[in-house]
Amino acid sequence: MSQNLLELGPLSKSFGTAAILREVSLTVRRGEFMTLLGPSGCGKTTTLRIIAGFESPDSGRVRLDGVDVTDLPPYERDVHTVFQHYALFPHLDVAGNIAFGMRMDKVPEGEIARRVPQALAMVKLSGFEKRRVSSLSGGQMQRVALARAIAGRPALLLLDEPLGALDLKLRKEMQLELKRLQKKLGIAFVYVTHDQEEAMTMSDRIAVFNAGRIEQLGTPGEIYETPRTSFVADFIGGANIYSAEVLPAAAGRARLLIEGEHEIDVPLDEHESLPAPGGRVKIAIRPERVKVFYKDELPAGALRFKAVLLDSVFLGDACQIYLDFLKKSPDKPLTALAGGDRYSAHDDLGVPVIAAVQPEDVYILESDGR
Amino acid sequence: MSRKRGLAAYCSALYAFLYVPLAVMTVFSFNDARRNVVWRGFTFKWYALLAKDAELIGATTTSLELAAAAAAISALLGVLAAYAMVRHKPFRGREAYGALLDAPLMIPEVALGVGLLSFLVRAGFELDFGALACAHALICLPYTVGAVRARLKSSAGERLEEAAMDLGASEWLAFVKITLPLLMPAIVSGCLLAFTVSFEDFVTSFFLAGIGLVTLPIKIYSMMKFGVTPEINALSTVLLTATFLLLGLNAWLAARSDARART
Repeated sequence: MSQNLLELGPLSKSFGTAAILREVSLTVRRGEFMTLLGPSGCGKTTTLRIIAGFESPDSGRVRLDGVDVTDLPPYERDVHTVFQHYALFPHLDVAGNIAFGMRMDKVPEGEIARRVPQALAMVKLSGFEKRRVSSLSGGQMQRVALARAIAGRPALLLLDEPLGALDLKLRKEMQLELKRLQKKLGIAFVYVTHDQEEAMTMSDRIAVFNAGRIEQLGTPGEIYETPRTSFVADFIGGANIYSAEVLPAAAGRARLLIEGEHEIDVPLDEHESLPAPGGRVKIAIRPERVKVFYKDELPAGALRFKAVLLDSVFLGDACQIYLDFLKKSPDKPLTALAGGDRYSAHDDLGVPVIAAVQPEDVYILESDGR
Repeated sequence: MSRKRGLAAYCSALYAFLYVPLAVMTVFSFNDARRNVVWRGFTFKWYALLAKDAELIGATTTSLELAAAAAAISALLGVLAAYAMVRHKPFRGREAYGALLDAPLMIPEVALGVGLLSFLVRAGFELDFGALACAHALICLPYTVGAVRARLKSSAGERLEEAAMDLGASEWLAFVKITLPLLMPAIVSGCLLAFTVSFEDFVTSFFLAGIGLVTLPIKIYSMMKFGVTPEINALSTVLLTATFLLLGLNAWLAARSDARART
């Protein structure tokens, strides 16, 4: 048994003249929670529909469990989907919905009668068998849709923004529950979302989609700690992104001139690469890694930038601070994220401060226009 | 006079214009007199006479059978046509095709009757029950297509079909197990309309009814040649009542399926 359950690649798909997918390749391991993350129109849903069999790729193959299923219709693939709008059958009751897939697979009725309550118990809806679909709340419908999809025990479950229609509190609950259920069942999930926080919470690995390509593939930690492109840095967690000129430096180090003003010397990570001196790169700095100081009391080894406090926005649990540290380009303020109590006072606006960043928190990004 | 009263007067006049003739007809069906002009007293005898008139009963049976056949044929064709237009991938001339399906509503029935008659005779078909049922199905088609098409467009049926196929149902099973049950209210409503349209059709039947095929409207027309008798009033009253019952049934079914869809 190969470790890879699903192998895609390289998938291309156009609708008319618009290219939706450009050579997307992806493998999903057995029991893995894989999230396809990206803004709307990035190709993540099309990828999911190709896996399910609702769309066929212009080129590239879909292999499930080592078998090429590219040309098989949806009903001949051992894959079930949880749809964004639930797609429950309104003329059947809850039990009828959950049993539908098993009836299609000709599972004996006795076995179905045993498995329906099991599936309902797994989504915490025991006793809902005879309820009408129209009498359920949004959260309950979502659970029934989930129970229906897992009742037939597919090898792979596809989820298309399944929590998109739920309110925030319920969504948070369901995120944890989904993750727990996925581990318990050992079914591989391919989960589509545009919510980076959701992706971070649940995934084993995340594929970040942008404009029909996978920009970066990795664990949530990798994606967050070492974003490769400005799109990934900005989409996940948000980032300050600046252009910098490369200066001659020692081996394993990078000397950069940020926006023609601030010179920094930072270590080069193994995955980071630099053009020759004189070339330009983009760098990213996470807001939560920027520390703001009023006096020169800096932690050792930090990079320091003289700045002016421009504005601060109270976010409840934190405070977002805008710092002006570029004299030539005041339209590119540095954003910092700090504990809510410290910088909420508006009296300090216009005050000169010091912004400090640890050298390893400066990410050097790949050039975007591949 | 206030505006409200003016409006009330206008509405009363309008409804009077629409329904007084029907009321008069109903009242005179209970009139104990051969002529319709004077009220002579209350009687059920015209209804009793109706029940004994073998020719009339025969014509009624023919019309009921015809309406049932026409409704069934137009429902079958209507579901297929509506499905093709709403659910099928867009094809060339889809709009024109849709408009052509509605055309029997607009085409003068006389023209339709003449056309059908010359076609059927030229093509060598017998002018029998089957031919007339097909002709009626043609007039009824816009009603069944319309009802089913509206339902297909408004429902989330396509998503549900995808969900069914995702769970292992072939296209055919998805249609039979999911789409068809969801379309049922629209099919029933379309059938009821088609049934009514066929049952009361006169012009097409008059053109196409061969020898020995007498529908109820044709029978009534031939009876009318000898003047409007209370018997005809009684018959019309029965038809009127039946029609209102059908309309009521249709409205009740529609309200019920609406309520189901909403809750």
